[in-house]
Amino acid sequence: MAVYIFPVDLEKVAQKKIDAGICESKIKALGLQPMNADPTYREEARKVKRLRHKLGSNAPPNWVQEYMHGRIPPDLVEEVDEEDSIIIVDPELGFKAEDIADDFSFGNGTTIGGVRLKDGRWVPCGFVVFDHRDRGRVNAVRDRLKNIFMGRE
Amino acid sequence: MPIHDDGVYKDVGAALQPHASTHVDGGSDEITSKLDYRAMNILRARATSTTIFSTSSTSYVDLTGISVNVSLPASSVVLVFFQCWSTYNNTIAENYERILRGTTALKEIKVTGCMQYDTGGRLLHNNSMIQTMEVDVSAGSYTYKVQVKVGTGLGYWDMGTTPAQGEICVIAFPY
Repeated sequence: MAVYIFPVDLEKVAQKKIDAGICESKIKALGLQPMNADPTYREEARKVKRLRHKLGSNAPPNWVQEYMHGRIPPDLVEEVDEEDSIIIVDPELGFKAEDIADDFSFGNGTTIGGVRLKDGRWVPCGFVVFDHRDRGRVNAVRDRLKNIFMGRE
Repeated sequence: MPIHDDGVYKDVGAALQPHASTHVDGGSDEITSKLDYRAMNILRARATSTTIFSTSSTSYVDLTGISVNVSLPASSVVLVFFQCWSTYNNTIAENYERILRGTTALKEIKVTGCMQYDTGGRLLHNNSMIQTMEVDVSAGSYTYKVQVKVGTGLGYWDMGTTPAQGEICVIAFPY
């Protein structure tokens, strides 16, 4: 996955003219799909995390949904590290990917909120998580994505 | 009881403290001494947020502004509480919350059943309260925080504005 972080118009957020749902529908209209169709994925500041059933191929086929509803004991499921995260921060935000707290989690969808830095500060922003393989298509529309998070599109 | 948020336990002084100096139910001195407030020192940490947070993430994402750092000088009992103005989901799905110490998840709850409306057709907001207690946490510096996710759809965590209603509190005392 790759995380793209953009500034947001806080006044429009307060007025609920911008939220994660509004942004995501416009992102999908660009032909892009955030990663939230797969709840086993999660991206932190340093690593991609994946939920895995300890029984492997012997796990029940619907174990993810069962786990999400609390019907599988937590000790049967573990979260493992996958590849390194890819974090792209809009320059207007004034911080770099390496400034983000190591344990900060971006999840797998579209979020309007903020990012916690290593010095403890929270920076208001929006972010969206895409498959690494979509980076080329995402990079081609980065300006439009920024406009979506700013409520200009 | 005096409390301190500078990360260090302090002797709060016997003169200021109520205490159980008499036996409880005829118990021994040893039992009553454990009930004596004079021996107890408290550490606290608190953070508030006014963010209107929304997400479509089906895996956990950090909740904006809801994290605190604490330095435990000794093995401790730690209480953690979080609550905000309201939470809701705009689809037939659930919202989830969990409390973490660092990257260790301590407690996870489902905070909404599904999209619910009142008799006027208005979307119902739900209580966001989550709490946990840890015992015998080793001395050291820790970050306690809250992460959230949705089953599907869009989840809101509205922190309120004036005063801030989004709040995480950590209270610790010697184990």
